[in-house]
Amino acid sequence: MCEPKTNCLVIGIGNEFQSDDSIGILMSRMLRKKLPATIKVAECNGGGVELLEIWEDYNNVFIIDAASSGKAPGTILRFDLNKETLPQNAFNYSSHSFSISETVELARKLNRLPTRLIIYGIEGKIFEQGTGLSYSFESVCDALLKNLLTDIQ
Amino acid sequence: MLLQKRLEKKVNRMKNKTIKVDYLARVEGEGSLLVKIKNDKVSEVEFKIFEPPRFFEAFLRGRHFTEVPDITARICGICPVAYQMSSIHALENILQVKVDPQIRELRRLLYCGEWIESHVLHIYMLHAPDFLGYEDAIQLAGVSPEVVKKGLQLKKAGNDIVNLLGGREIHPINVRVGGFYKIPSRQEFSKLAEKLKHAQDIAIETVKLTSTFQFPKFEQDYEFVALKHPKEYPFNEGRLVSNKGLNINVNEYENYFHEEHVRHSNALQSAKNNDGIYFVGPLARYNLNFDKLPDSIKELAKEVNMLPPCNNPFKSITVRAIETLYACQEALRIIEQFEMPEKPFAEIQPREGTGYGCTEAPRGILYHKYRMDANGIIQEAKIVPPTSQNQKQIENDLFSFVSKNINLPTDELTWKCEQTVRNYDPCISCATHFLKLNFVRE
Repeated sequence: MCEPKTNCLVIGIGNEFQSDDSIGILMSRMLRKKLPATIKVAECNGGGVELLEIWEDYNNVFIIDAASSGKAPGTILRFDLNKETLPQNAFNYSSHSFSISETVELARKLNRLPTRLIIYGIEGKIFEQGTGLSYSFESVCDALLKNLLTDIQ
Repeated sequence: MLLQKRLEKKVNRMKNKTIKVDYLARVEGEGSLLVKIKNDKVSEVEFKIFEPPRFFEAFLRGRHFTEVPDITARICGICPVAYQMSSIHALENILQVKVDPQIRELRRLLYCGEWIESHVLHIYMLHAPDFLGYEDAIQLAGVSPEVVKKGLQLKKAGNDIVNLLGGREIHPINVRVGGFYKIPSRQEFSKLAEKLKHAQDIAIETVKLTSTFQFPKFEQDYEFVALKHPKEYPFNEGRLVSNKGLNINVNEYENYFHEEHVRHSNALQSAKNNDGIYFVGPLARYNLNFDKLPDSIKELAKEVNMLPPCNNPFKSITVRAIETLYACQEALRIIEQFEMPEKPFAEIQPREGTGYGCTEAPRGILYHKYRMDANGIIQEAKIVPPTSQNQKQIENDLFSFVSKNINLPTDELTWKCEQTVRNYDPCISCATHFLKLNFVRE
């Protein structure tokens, strides 16, 4: 488990009013109840350069966001950003100019990547305005929690 | 004969080219652009916004007036303060509220935060790469990481203001009709002032840096429209004026301006009755309000050769830097002179009527009108964002710029067209997000 000195931050990204894009936010709210208090959980509405500030004081950062790469809705993708780059097209659902892929690459150039940065992308299908998911939240929830706890330990 | 036909065909191809760019990056939101060139002349320019309308004006109907600032803040993640401020002023116009002068100052302080956040994001992340010849801020960060780091530091000062006074960085929640829910402590303001002193130095460097950029030679005879206040550089209050004689009260706005639907855009386009196209935003504010800037900033403007009038929209990047410096200095002034008001907000009773508000969002004037019943329920709402007002001007700039630079190589011309759009820092999300550029030479 993350020691306080190697502090951990989980960031859920998304827009809770844009269907499957809400998964990051919904997950962060669930994780806040289930994870130990030493692990900070944050919500972020839009991603972008704000992420650099949100993760500034943390060494271990885990991001949960919706992804769109053509896989089955609810599929969990995992990227270790200290070892790989994000596929450009999977995380481009941003109404503003800086996607997560771009923010991560900007941070890499500025030497501002956390010591450990893992992104979980949860495949979505519907990104229209609205609430609710196109797949079962429960089915993804347990699997993601298991993945996260393994990564945190 | 065959050779002659081939030559004719070749010449025609040169005169009628088809250039297509599918995705224009570095703008806020989603839309597209089409430029058609026929016989070496621009035949058509369409700034298309196909983002679905979000019906905020309709959501507001039936809501209690106290809910309005939190709903309008959701219109935009980049300029929520502007939406809160215009709605609050329009509602207070109906409610005949007189707010404590210190509350008024804190509203200006919150606006300083938003201008810094928004302007710096645009200068460093979206617009500077155009002038330095980089694809994007990531490439710029690879070559000049210190420049981008400074930009991020400066932006953070804006975030800190909005965070402290607004309750959070995006979609602030501490603003209410009549004032604020809670006012931060003097100690919290002092900490903020320390950060702003450092930000002010970076803002000066930003003005100097951007003024060294190579600007395309391009000027037009614009009608600039902005707020003008007798004593201050405008944020929340003033008369609507232009360099072509307009001088009206905010409640007269709809007598002089109208919105119209064009087939290619989901966002209504604004026009001035009779005269049509007008220009809102930093360049308009600067040209119409330069006299209200502190002397030190006027001197810096002279030093970097940026005295008004400035009719080159490409130079808006330096104007944004100057306004960022002003926002840092104004924030420091407000904090230094601040006295804690007795109450964070004025008590309000609902009142029937119609009210008008117009404030200076980072991208230009933002007009709101509300009609409310005696129980404080909103019956009608009208919101005219700055990007809606600049749409025609953007199309007009593109038409003129391409006409004057028709012989530029296609790649360069395409890049310059994208830059021309970015001069306006359009917030398409506000206007109705995605900008695709289709460039057609027929």
